[in-house]
Amino acid sequence: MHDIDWKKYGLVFFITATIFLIAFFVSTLFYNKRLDEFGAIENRVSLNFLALEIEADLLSELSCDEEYVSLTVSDLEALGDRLSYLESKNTDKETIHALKTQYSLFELKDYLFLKQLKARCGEDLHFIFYFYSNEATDCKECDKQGYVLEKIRKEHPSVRVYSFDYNLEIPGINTLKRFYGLKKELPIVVVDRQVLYGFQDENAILSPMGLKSSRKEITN
Amino acid sequence: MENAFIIVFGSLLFVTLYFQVFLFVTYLENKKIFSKKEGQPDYAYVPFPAPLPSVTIIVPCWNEAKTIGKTILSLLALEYPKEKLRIFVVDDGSDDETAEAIAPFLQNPSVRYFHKENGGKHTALNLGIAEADTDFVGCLDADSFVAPDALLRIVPLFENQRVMAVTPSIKVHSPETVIQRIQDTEYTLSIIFRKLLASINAQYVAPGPFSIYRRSVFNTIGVFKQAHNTEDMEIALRIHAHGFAIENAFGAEVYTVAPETLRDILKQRIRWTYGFMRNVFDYRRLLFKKQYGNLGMFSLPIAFLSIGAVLFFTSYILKNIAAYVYQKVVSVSTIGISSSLGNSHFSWFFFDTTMTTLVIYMSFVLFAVMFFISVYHARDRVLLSRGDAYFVLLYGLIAPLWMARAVVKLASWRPIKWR
Repeated sequence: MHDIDWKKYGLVFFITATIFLIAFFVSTLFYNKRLDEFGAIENRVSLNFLALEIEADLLSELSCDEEYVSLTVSDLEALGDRLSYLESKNTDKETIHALKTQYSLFELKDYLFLKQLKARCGEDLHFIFYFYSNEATDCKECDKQGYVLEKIRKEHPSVRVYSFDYNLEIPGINTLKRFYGLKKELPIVVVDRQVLYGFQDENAILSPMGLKSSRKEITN
Repeated sequence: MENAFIIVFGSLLFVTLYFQVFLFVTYLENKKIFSKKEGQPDYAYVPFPAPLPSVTIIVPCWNEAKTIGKTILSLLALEYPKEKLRIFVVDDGSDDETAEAIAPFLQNPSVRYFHKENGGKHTALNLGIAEADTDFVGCLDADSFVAPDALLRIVPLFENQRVMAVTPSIKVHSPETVIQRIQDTEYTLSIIFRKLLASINAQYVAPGPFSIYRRSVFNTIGVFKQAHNTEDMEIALRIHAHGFAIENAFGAEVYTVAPETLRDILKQRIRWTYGFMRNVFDYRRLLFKKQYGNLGMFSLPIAFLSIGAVLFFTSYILKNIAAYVYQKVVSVSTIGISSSLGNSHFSWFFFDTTMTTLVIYMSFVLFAVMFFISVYHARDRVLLSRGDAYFVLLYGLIAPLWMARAVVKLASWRPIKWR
C-alpha cells in the first residue's frame, strides 16, 4: 500500500483551479478589449457622421465629393464582422442588444446620407435592406441569404447592404417595417424599395437594380 | 440542456487538466529517478545483493511460429546466471509450426516445453506457475524480445518485500508501418507514464511482455484468471486489492511486435479497453477508497473517466467540424467556390480567447512539455521521430474508434474474443 499524499492532491487542485482562474481573467481582459475596440470603431463612425453633418451645414448642402461614399463603409463593415463574431461567441444578450442597436442606427444614418447624396449628385448607388433573424426557427435560409448578400456587397461597390435583425425592437427598424408593411416571413430583402420574401439568389436581387452577376450560373 | 453540457464540458476539462498537472508534479517530485548519476554508466540500475534469486520465465504461445524462436533466443541471451534461469515454453494448443520452431531449443537445459489443449493465455501461464519452483516467475509474450540486461534491472526492485510484481519499459520492435510508428511513440510516452504511476504505486496493469512476479504472491492471491481476456490488468488490480505494490524497472527494455494495420490495432485495443472497463467494474470496491492509495483515488478513476472524456471531446469536435463543413457546403453551393474562399482579413479580434479555449491551450502546452520530457528520457535524446508526427496527427482520430467500439461492446455485456 502507498500512503496518499493529500497535500499533493490539494496542491494539484490549487494549481488546476489557478489555471482556470487565470484563464477566466485573461478571457475577461480580451473580452473587455474587444468591447473597447468595438467602441473605438463606433466613435470613429460617429465622428465621421458628425464631420459630414457639419460640412453639410457649413456648405448649406451636402457636397458632391466622392469620398463621402467610402467614408464609413469600411468601418461599418468592420463593426458588422465584429458584431457577428461576438454574437457567435455567446456574448451576453444585453451587450449584444446594445451593440446591435447602435450598429443598426449607424446603418440607417449611413443610408440617409447616401440617399441624399444619390438624389443631389446622381451617384450610382443602390440600397438593400436585409431583414434576418438569428433564431434558426425564425429563418432557416438566412445563412444562405447572408452569403449571397455578402458576395454582392464585395463585387458591387455601388450596392450598399444594410442588415437588420427583424426581432430588434428599435424605432428606426420599426419605422422601416411599418413603411414597407413587412410580415415576419424571413429572410426579407428590400431592393431599391421592392420587397422580396424568402431566399433570393444573386440574379433575383441584382436584376431590379439593373446589375448583372459576375458568376456563371450553376446548372444542375 | 445547454447548462448540463457546459457543466459536463467544464468538469471533464478540469479533470483532464488535473490529471496533467498531477503527472507533471509527480515528475518534478521524482525527477532524480530519470537522471543519470555521475560515474555510473547507466541509470536505474542498482545491483542486487548476491546471490541472485532464481527466475522462471513463462512464454505462453498459441500459433506464434514466426516469432517464438527469436523470443527464446532473447531470453537465452539474458545476462543472468544460467543455473538461476528457467524458460518454460507453454504451447496453448497451437495448430501451426510453433512446435517445430521450438524444437531446436529443447536441447538447452534451461528450456522446458509444455503442450496443452487450447484454453486461453491465463491457463498457459497457470500451468507454468504450477510447474515453477523458483523465487520469481515472469511471463513474456511470444511476440516480444528482451534486452540482455532487462532481468538484472528488474530483480533488484524486489528488495522491497511489499513489491509483488515489477513491470518493464516496453518499446515497439522494428516499427515499419504508420500504425506501428504511432504505437512506437505511444509506447515511448507510456514508459515515463508507467514509471510515474509506479512511483505512487498506482499501476493498474502488469503487461504481458516481461512482467515479473514474486512466486509466493500466487499462493497468497491465487493464479491468473480469464478476466475478460485481460488477465494482466486483473492480476495487477488483485495485487493492489491485497495491499501489495507493483514496481516499474525503468530501463529494463522489452521489445514487442505491435499490430501492423488499423484493423489489427483496433481489435487489440478494443479488447484492452473492454477488458479494462470490465475489470474496473469487477474491482469497483477499490475506487475512491483511501486504503487502496493512489490507485483507488487517482489512476483507476482517471483512466476510467478518460474513456468518457475522449469520447465526449471527440463528439464535440466532430460536431463542430460537421457544422463548419455544412456551413462551407451551403456557402459553396450558394455562391460558388471562389466567392466562398474569398479574402478574409485577420485580426486579433477574431482569435478565440474564451476561458475554455485558453484552458485547452494550457492543456496542450502541458501535453507538449510531458511529451518532450518522455521522449528525452525514454530515448535519451530530444530528437523527434517520424512516428511522433504520425502520433500527433493521427492518434486522436484512431483512439476514439476503439474506445467507442469498446463502450458499445460493454453495453452488450457479452464476452470479447482474443483475436
